[in-house]
Amino acid sequence: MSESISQRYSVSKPLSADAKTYGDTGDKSGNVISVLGARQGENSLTGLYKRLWPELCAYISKTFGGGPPDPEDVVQTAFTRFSSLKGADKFEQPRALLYTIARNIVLDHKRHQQTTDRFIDNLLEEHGHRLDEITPERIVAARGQLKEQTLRINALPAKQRQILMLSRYYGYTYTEIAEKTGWSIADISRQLKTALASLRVQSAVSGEDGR
Amino acid sequence: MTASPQMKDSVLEQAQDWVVLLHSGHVTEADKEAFRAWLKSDPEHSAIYAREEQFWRDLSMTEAFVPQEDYMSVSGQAPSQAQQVNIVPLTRRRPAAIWAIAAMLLLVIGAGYMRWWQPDNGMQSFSTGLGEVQEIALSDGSRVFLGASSNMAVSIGKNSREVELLAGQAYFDVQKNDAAPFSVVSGSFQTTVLGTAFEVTTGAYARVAVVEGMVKVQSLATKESGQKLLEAGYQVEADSTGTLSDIKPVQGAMPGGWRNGRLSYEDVSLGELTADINRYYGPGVIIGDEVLNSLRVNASFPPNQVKQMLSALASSHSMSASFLDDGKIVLRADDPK
Repeated sequence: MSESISQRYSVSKPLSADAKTYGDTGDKSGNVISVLGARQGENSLTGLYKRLWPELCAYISKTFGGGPPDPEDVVQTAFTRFSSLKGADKFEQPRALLYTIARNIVLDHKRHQQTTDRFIDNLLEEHGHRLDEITPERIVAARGQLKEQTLRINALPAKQRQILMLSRYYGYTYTEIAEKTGWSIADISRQLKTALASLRVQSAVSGEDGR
Repeated sequence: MTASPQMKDSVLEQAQDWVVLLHSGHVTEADKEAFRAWLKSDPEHSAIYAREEQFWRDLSMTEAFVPQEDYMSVSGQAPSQAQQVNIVPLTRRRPAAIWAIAAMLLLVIGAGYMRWWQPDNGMQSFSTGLGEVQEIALSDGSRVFLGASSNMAVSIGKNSREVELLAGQAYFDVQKNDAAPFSVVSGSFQTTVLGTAFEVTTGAYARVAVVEGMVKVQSLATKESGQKLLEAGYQVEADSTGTLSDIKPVQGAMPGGWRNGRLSYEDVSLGELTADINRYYGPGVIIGDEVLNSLRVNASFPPNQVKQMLSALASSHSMSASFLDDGKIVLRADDPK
């Protein structure tokens, strides 16, 4: 994460701007977040940084623990990658994108520690198949399909959804999931298989099988 | 890991089985060897596998489980404060063996304080420490009293209200809303309501007891699924497999009695009473003789008088209570003479 540390200060500098926006609860909802979201220029990098930094750090540390990777480094890297996207300041919903980027930074880190993922990559490469890495650019390019996919994931039965969440989005091993939920590893595998098969079929039906 | 994919399945199914197996987090050398052989056995295999593997990895690109933007308004705190609560003191991860537990306990650092977090879809988590009871106002107007040593995740949406009780006990006073059923998943069973007051307890003595209105309790077990409609004044118990007991009038612990700082029980088994006490009494109460688990007792006491209560109970039943130096209390049956 040395890349992110070196860049931290250059990105965080503009923080001092329009600090008074925070206390403004003039909106009927009384929800600071939505008030901010409605404000012009709120999606400027400065505004985003100030608005989302604490919640992203909290999200990462609560989801994945205190690190490594260090949650602040992760969020910093996420902002750096986000800001290097073309027209980053014009995204309509940058918040979810930042969450997704940050989350994948941690998951990527975990994967690199997992010898299995490297084993799979290498083996597939021997057979002439290269897997695409997850990058902000790919996420942006596939936005439409990813929206559909999100809806499908949210529509999965609660148990499948929970296991999928812990496995694919939190990076838990099946043993850890079993410890957390009390479900057996065989059951967890079965639920994941069912979830994979059903998501796969649905995305194929809607013509997203474009790989 | 467990069984390798079966050859009778289609190649697609085999590939998906491999995906699920290889991402288990504990792949053996034998698994790898079998996978290598499977890929080699047919050129089609690697192409199909690569596609499934990519699909599986790409799932984390979606926004699924990203906390909703308005989650902070659900926390029942002024938004400006919510901002400040945001950063929880970080702790370094524990060794792998207790990783899962550590992740769950992350919120309880600095014990005694109720923590919240929102891992997915606006889900928040609440935890209580030993002996601690918290009243929580949810954004839909419902109130939850979270019992001692308990942990729950809450997600309130327009069309559904979902609570997962991960440990301990909670009392729900649910705001009526026909459009958004309120459901509580707890271990092996699920309780669904439209508006009512009831108590859910997880663990070895899991039960649902209804105080007002009506709830539906469903087993989450894959095969032995069952469903019961419960009215006020009735309870149903669940074992760890999700098998539900017959419906019976409320007995044992008074539902939600603990909310007022008093634990009250009528005709409860000593085993159940002890399980409850141990969510309040740190050093722990141990039942030394199996036979005592099923002893029926009555009791009503504030949680800070566990010792006195057990002394009194011991003197009125054929058992003895020993108080160890570390605070542990051991209950033993008197020798029958």
